[in-house]
Amino acid sequence: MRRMHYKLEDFNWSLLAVVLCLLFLGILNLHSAASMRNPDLYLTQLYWALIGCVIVASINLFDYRITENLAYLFYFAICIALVLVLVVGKSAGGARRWLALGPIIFQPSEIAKLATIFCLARYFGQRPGGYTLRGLVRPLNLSRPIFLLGLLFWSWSKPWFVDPIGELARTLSAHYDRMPVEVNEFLWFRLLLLGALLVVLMVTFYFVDQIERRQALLEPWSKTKRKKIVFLWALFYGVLFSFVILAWNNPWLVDPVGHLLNVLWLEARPGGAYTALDPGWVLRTLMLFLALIYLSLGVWAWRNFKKQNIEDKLIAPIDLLLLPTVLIMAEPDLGTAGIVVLIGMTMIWIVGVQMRSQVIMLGCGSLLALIGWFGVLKEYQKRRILTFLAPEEDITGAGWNAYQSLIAVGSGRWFGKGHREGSQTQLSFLPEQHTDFAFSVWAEEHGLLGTVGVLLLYFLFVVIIFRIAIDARERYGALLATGIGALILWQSLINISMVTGMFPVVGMPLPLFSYGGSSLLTILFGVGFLFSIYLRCRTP
Amino acid sequence: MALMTQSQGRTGVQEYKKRILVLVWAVGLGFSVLFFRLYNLQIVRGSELSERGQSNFIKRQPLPHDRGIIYDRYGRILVDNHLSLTLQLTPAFVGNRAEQQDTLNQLRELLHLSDERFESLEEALKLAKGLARFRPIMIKRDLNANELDRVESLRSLMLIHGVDIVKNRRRTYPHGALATHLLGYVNEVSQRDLDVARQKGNPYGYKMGNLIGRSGIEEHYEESLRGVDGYKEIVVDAKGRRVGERELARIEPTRRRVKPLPGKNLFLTIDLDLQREVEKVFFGQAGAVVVIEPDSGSIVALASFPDFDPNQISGALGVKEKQSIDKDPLKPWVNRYVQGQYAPGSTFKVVTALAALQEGLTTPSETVHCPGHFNLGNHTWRCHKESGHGLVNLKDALKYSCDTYFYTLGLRIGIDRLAQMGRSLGLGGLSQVSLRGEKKGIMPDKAFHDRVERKTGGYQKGMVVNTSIGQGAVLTTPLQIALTYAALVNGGQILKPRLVDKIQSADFRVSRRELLSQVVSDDAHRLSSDKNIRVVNFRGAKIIERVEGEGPKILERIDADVLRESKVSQEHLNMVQKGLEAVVMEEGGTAYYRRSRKTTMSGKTGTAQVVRLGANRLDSRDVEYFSRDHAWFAAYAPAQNPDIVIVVLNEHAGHGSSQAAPIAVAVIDKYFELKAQRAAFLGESL
Repeated sequence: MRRMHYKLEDFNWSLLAVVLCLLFLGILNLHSAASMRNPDLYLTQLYWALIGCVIVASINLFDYRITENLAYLFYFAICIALVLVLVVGKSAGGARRWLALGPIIFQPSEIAKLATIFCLARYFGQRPGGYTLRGLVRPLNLSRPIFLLGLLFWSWSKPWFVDPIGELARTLSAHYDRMPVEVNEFLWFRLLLLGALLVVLMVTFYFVDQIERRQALLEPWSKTKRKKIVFLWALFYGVLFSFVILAWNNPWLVDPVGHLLNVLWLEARPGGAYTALDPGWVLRTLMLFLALIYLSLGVWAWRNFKKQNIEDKLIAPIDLLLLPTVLIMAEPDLGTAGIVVLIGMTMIWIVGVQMRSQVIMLGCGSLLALIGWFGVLKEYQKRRILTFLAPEEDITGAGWNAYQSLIAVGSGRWFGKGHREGSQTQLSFLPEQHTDFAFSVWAEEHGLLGTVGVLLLYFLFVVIIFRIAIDARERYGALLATGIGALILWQSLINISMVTGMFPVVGMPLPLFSYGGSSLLTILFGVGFLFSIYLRCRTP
Repeated sequence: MALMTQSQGRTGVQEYKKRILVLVWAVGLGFSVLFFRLYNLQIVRGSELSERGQSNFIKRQPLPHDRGIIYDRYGRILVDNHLSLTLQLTPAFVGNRAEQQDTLNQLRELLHLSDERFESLEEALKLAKGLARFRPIMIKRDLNANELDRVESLRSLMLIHGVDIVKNRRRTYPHGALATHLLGYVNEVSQRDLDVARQKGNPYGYKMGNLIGRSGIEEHYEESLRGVDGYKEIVVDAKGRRVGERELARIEPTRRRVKPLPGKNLFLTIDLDLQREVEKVFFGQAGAVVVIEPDSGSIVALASFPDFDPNQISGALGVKEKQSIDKDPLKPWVNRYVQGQYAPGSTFKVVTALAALQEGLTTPSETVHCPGHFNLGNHTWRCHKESGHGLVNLKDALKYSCDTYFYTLGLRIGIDRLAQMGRSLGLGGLSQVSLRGEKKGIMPDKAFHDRVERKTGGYQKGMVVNTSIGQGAVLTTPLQIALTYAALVNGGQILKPRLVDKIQSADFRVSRRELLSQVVSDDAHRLSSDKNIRVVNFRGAKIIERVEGEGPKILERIDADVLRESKVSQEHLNMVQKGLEAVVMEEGGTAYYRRSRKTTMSGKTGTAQVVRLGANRLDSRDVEYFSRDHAWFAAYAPAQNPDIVIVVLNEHAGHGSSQAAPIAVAVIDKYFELKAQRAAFLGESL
């Protein structure tokens, strides 16, 4: 079935040429960019590139289709690695991103990009497209309550979880520049109690109405007896309701468990059990309870939808994307998380989403953005976001990087200052010049001529990849190629926008160009699969 | 393989094809946006951004100018400049907060900073946020060689960043507290000074950290003394460190260095030797001494006591010294010869005498009987000699300083005519001396008394009696008295006091020395013709010294200037001069026993009574001192064709003859000793 001999023209030579070109230019650029800090850094990158080429060659030899079976395994292994990073990862600069496996130190979030691509390719490759919003989200799928439980444990001690009303009050008062409002941390409990009683009362009256209509339901009871029962029922809850209101500040109501502990055990001494108890326990317990109910509902639904296969009962497609995203965001590494979301959304869009759902999603997204901008964000936060538009406003603070990058790019002009001649680079004015701002170095030293050349190479790169996707033999391969193409597309677009001051400065390396083993190997790993897909596209 | 069957093969891919093609178009759009952005940055805004890139790494290092040097009349240096090294730290180039703290701790050990200083620096570092992080913080001024070595060694090992050593000029006063009030002192410009300068367009280019004259000559001749700062452009990296020669090619050669322009030099009329003598004999007392040449108005020596050392209060430091000066009850800040106003006492009697002669109200031969007191209405004025002087004429009255005689004349003259004469002799008006804060004094007339003593009924006849002996409301500065006495001997001219003789441009000459043997024979004839080249002996070797550039040029010579011609006749002046000569040279004169043994001289003593002077403002233990009399002595020497006029005011010292005259005589003796030395020296050299 599988043809064992391929001709030379079956190999994608143009892709090879573009990749080698970019690799070469990247290393050349590194020779200049790192010359002040570590002049031999380009050699390190060269070694990584050589290792990467070996990987590309070996992947090319294998049929990519065997990965379809391993995709979920790969995906969950990486998710576990991402959880491990949060627990035992190495932290640097306020973020835990690195995981040490014996002598190898790697960034699971880099590999998570590929894992997500493989996972989504397998999932969507086996299903027809034309998704609706409901089909993507699937609220009752079993993955949702599990996912929510995970979120619950993750946010266990976050302030907005421990004391939501207080946090809301603090946020609002800060937003409107008012004095902070003191809110009792146990207010939640009483409000919920009150709410529950109200709900019971209303349900009671609803049933009274029902009783009147369907007498048959309550045939054994006489009409007067019915009225009496309903009256007593309402009286009981009414008294309970007023009791809660009257005894609003009674310690038994404010914090029953804590108070009980105090009475039984430590007799309300200061520093006793009362203060030892975390005030967030009420809400947490409640949320845990609700999540468990949700989980059992999910289990119930799973057992009842027997027609679907096991995956559809277990997994909602959107959760496949959200799980690694949330884990990466927790590191925090917003840049990578954003890229994962973008790749996933690109793949889902290629798979096909119904127009109505697209419009709804777009509408909801813009609504959320508007609310966030005008309602939630504070003035200084907005200013920080806007800094990228006018870095000159704040060159010594947040705008420093963007401003220096703008100067570097702009002072390249037509032909650049020459290799290793850029003043911004050689005098270390450019930040992160060998990683995120490698393109600025290139622009300064080689001018518009150089930048347009590299821009064209990336464009060709992306177009070739999408060409491979169209030519792929089946949907899994096409989606794999699309995902890898999206990865390269978004990273290069965002990085170049960032260094030219059109996008906020986020940590985002330029594929094949920036220094970094993890990033380079990830991309070359993907490129290996592209070769493999192309080579086998005409195999029956 | 079961899973693969679900992948639906090529037909499944066809579903994606349409959307992938749309995506490719979108990608093309995205990349063209990037292209336009790059075109905009690199071509449209290219030159602007290149400019900014330039200013990024080119740092202008100021080259401080030399402030003008102040010389005495014989070209001896009174005020000079010294090189001083300042250590400063730029927080942004040091690193983060922890690194800044670390660097500061290191510097504290290296430089032995005091705890106080260290805390204030810590505070300054904490405040340095945003743009302020790029503003250097001064750590220490006037580094010595040891400190410089230690800092430089750390810097060369790259152990500390963001620390600079800046060359600066420090103003020095090599003679310490000599002529302090005259020379003044300098300080760093304040924000207020900068604002004022900017309103005028800042023609002298003041910057933060520059020096500015605060008093005396330093302040008044600020515009002449100040030069223009130059700068040197250097290439720095992002941490503000200087980088190597290779990078220097990034600056255009013409822009690399602009030389500083030094300020103009001043030659004062002060004689350093005489000034020293004045300060020596007056040391430890309070008061003022003025020595002036009556022909030209040139001031030979000028002193006010107590004084202070300007070296200690120049610059930003010296707050403690300033505070101790502020607290001194004797008020060392006050420049007594122009800002101190005192009753002139008997030195004023020459004015009364001249007024009476001028108005024809007395003759030199007219005698007045002095019984020891003078009555007017039911009021009695005492003469200082209780038993009385008997019959006295004008000469005797001056010689014995008889009060009764002048009471009598004063009453005849009337206050207005007396005031008129006083004013014509320069009292009660500004002398226009080039020093700040000169006081006018008071020369009272009827209108003045009517205005000031409105409550007690305005002018009373007795007031002129007080004024006629220099008491009452009349107040003068020592400089005014000196000018009045100068007018007595120069024919009645009130001169504008000269402090600065000439203003000279700085010396721009550069001398290069070469060994003679290196000079080619062709140059031989040039050697003889070129006056800028000369052959000198230097430690046994013949050396050619070439002098290039412009030598000092006199830019301005300040000539004698007559402020006012008094209309007193020479005849009347001679009559008064005779009386003044008798004071010193005749037995029985008030200063006879204090006269100079070396030269003839004339003078007038004065003992000014102090009434309630500042009693309400001072400590009780000071009251006694501050209510004592002021001792005056005004003199000129020699008695005929005098060279100098000298006025001595000894505050709260008692009698003029015992407390002021000896000082004046010592100064006069020194003056003629110096004059003789100089004549001998000149004779030798001729």
